[in-house]
This record gives sequence, C-alpha cells and structure tokens, in this order.
Amino acid sequence: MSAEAQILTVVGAYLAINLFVGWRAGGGTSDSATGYVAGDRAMGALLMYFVTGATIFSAFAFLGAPGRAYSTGAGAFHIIAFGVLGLVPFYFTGPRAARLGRRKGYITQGELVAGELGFRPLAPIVALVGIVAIVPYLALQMRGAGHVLEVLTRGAVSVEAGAALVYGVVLVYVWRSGVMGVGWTNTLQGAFMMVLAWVLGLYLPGAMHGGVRAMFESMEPEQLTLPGRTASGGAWSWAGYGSTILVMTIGFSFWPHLFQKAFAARSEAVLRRTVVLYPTFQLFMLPILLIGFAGVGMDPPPSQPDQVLPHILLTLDLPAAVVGLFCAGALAASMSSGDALLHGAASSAVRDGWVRGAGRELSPAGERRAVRMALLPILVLSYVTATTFHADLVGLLSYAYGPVGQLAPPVTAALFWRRATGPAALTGLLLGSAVTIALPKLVDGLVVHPGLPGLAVNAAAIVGVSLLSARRAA
Amino acid sequence: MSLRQVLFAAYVLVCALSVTGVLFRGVQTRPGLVLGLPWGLAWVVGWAALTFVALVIFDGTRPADDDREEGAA
Repeated sequence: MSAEAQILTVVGAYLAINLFVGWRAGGGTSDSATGYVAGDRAMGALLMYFVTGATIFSAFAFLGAPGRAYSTGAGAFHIIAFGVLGLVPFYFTGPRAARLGRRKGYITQGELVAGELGFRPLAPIVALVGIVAIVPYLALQMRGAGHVLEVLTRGAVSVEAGAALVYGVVLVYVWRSGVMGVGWTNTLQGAFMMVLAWVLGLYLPGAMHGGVRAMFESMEPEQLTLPGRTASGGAWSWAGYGSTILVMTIGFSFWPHLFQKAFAARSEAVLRRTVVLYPTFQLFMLPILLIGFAGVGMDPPPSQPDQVLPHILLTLDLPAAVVGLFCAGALAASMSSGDALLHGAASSAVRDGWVRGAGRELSPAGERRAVRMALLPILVLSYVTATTFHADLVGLLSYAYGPVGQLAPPVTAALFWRRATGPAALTGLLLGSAVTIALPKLVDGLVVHPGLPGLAVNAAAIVGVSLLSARRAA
Repeated sequence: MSLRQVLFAAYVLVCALSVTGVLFRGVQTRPGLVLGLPWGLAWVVGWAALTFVALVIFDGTRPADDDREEGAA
C-alpha cells in the first residue's frame, strides 16, 4: 500500500468514527428547535468542557499557532494569554444568559439581546454581524482541512476535494443531530487533539534538536524576548501586545456559536464549572508552541510559517500511518470549530433573522426543519469563499473579528444594565464596528489594536444614548 | 467588598500588569531579554495554572444566596 493510501485509510477511518458518533448523538433530543439548537438545555459538564474547548481550537491550532511560534517566537505567547483569559467573562455572562434563556425561551444571542432590550431589529442585526464573521471563519476551517489533506497526500487529494469530503461528513452529522452531534464529536475530537499535540510536542524537539533545552539554546535571542514580534515580522510593542490580548479576551466568548452554548448547559453550575476548568484546556497549546519552536532554523524552511508542522512531518520521513494520525488531528481541529460555526450560523439565521426579525411564526418541528435547511446555503457559501477568495481570506477574517468583539458591550448591557435601551445598543454596535474597521485605514502605524478604541466608542455610545433616552422619556 | 472579590481583583490586577508589560519592567533573564525562553513560556503556563486556581477559589467560595441575588437583579 502506498504512503498516500495509508494516510487516506487512517483519515477515512477517523471520519467514519466521527460520522458514527455524530449520527448517534442526536437520538435523545426533542423534535424542536430547542432540542436541535440547545440540546433541550441538558448538556453536562464533560460535554460542555469539550464543546467550549474544542470549538475554540480551530484549524489555527495545528497550523496557525505553530506558525506563529515559528515566525514570531515569544510573540506567540499571546495565544495562550488570551486563551486563558478569554472565557473568564463567560463566568459572569454565561449563567445569567442561561437563566434568562430558561425563563424566556431564548436559544440565540441575538434573540436574548433583542428580547432583553425590547428592540426587535437588534436580533437580525446581531445575527448578521455573527454570520458575516462566521462565513470567512468557516471558510478558513475548510481550507485548512483541504490544505492539510493536499500537502500530506502530496497532491493526491486536492484542497477542494479534501474540504468537500471533510465538510460533507460535518454536514451529515450536524444535519442529523444538531448541537448534540457537535457536542459528542467535539468530545472525541478534543481528546484526540490533546493526545496528538502532546505526543508531537514532546517528540519533535527531541527528534530535531535533542531536547527542549537544546532547542531553546539554538534559537536567536531576539526570538526569545517578550512581547516578541508581530505576524509581519516587526517589533511588537507592549501596547500592541496588551491591547490585542485585551480585545480578544473581551470578544472571545461573544462569538455567537460559543455564546449560544450557554443555552445548552444543564445548569448554571455546569456553566461555571466549565469556565473554571477551561484554563486546563489551554495547556494543550504548550506542546503546539513547542512544535513551532522546533521548526526554527530548518533547512529548507517551510514555504509559509503556517506550513511548519506539515513541513516538519514530511521532512522527518515518518511512517505514513503516523502522518495519517497527524492529518486526522488537524482535521479534528478544523471540524471541531467548523461544525459549531455551521450550526451556530444556521440557528441564528432562522431564529434571529426569520422568526424574530421577520416575525414569522414557526412550529417547533418546523423551526428545526428550517435550521436544517439553512445549513446547506451557509456551507455552500463558505465553501465557495474557501475555494475562490485565496488572497484575502485571512484579511477578511481579521475584519470580521473586529465587529464580533463589538457584540460584547450590547450583550453585557442587555444582561446587566436595566437602563440600557435597544437603540443605544444598536448605535454602540454600529459605531464600534465602524471605528474598528476604519481606524487602521485612517491612522498609519496604529499602536493599539483597533478593536480597543472601537470598544470604548461602543460602550460610551450605549451609556450616552441610554441616558439621553431616559432623560427624554422622563 | 468580600475577601473573594478582593482576591479576584488581585488576580485581575496581575493579569493587567502582565499583559501591559509593567510586571516585567526591568526584568532581564539574559542581557537584553525580557523573560526569554524558557522563562516566558513558564510564566504563561504558570498564568494558565494561576487562572485555574483563581477561578476554583472564586467559584468555591460563592455565597449560597448568590443565585437568588442575581435572579432578583
């Protein structure tokens, strides 16, 4: 059997196991939107831990993160820093959202914001911001999966065919089982990723440098100092480093597909426990960074930093079955985020756009069918984006990240500030997003992350407009 | 402000001082290096552990009537 055939056999077995687990997972939920989108609000601690952990670790974990460590040295520590802090706000927002969801029937973020602020147009707008951000994010997961398959099978499987194969499997189990399919496959994928990351992270520095200590000693001093370098290779200031961590920490748990999991937890205690345990998932990033550091000084170097891990694996001439296992691990990282993104976007489109925004009533079973139907156009749109927009996808995603972070002030206001109004939240969201997107174009050499001034404008607008509205009403 | 809130605020302060670099001002593990590897990596991993411990303490010392207060808010 050729090396490519062995790799594809391992990958095929892995995809078949995912399909089996994902298909079986949906059997126990009710035939309603709450069952399909929020798992009948019955997810336990184990599922919640892996759903949040594995959802956050996308294809970026096995490709982008080692690439960052390889190219920016200590600058890559910011990945662990914002990852560790990112779910802490959810300790406060998650249980409150869960309680309101249980009491008022919310199953999406947009629905919660619109409902709590009594302003229906917010639901489709929050959904739109989320979906516009999710499509390039999902496209990146697809391209990551396709790219790994293409590189490691030495072209036997094209990027397009690989992405279609992997996301065909994702579509089937998400279509059949909804959030429970996402949850149980994420448990499998998360455990698999963790084991694989530690095996590779401990093995590669030893195989390539004779150990971790020797690996660090072989690196250049400028690669070792905080705050490190930016992705483009320039020196990173503490202001840039700190504000990036801050913006990503604030925005992290407000991604719609992640926030939505608050409505799926069995209890508020389960949600809190998930956040408490979550930093242990971040230890998974340590070996990932070691993999990137191991690639420093390789001859020949990888064509791009993101290719450092596949490049190392091909250079080391490892057994094909081992390469196949890595390939499955990278697919796990891609799928564990991609399935949640797909499910989150479809749920939001139907509940926030169609039901709340357009005011169309659907029966529970009809809404479940509508969410299933919405999976396909979102998947196709993401696939077309993945296979068409080659140059600008990462740039598009970085733009999308900004507006998603801007969901934090309106959602927080809806949860905790009774004087907040719907028009104020909308004004804040729009102004904050505009500042985040426009600032890098208007200001050369911006020192801080553009999301930070965006968040400041957003919060100020919510407070200011809410207080003005209250004064007028009085 | 209760002791648990003070401790949590202290943890947040450590995070703020760390990500802004204030905590590392003047710290050099080698000439010209601010927390060079492996110390920088050890710090970040320690930070993950600290976050876990801080959250365990904060959550473990939650007053029993916290839910009722939040529900009434």
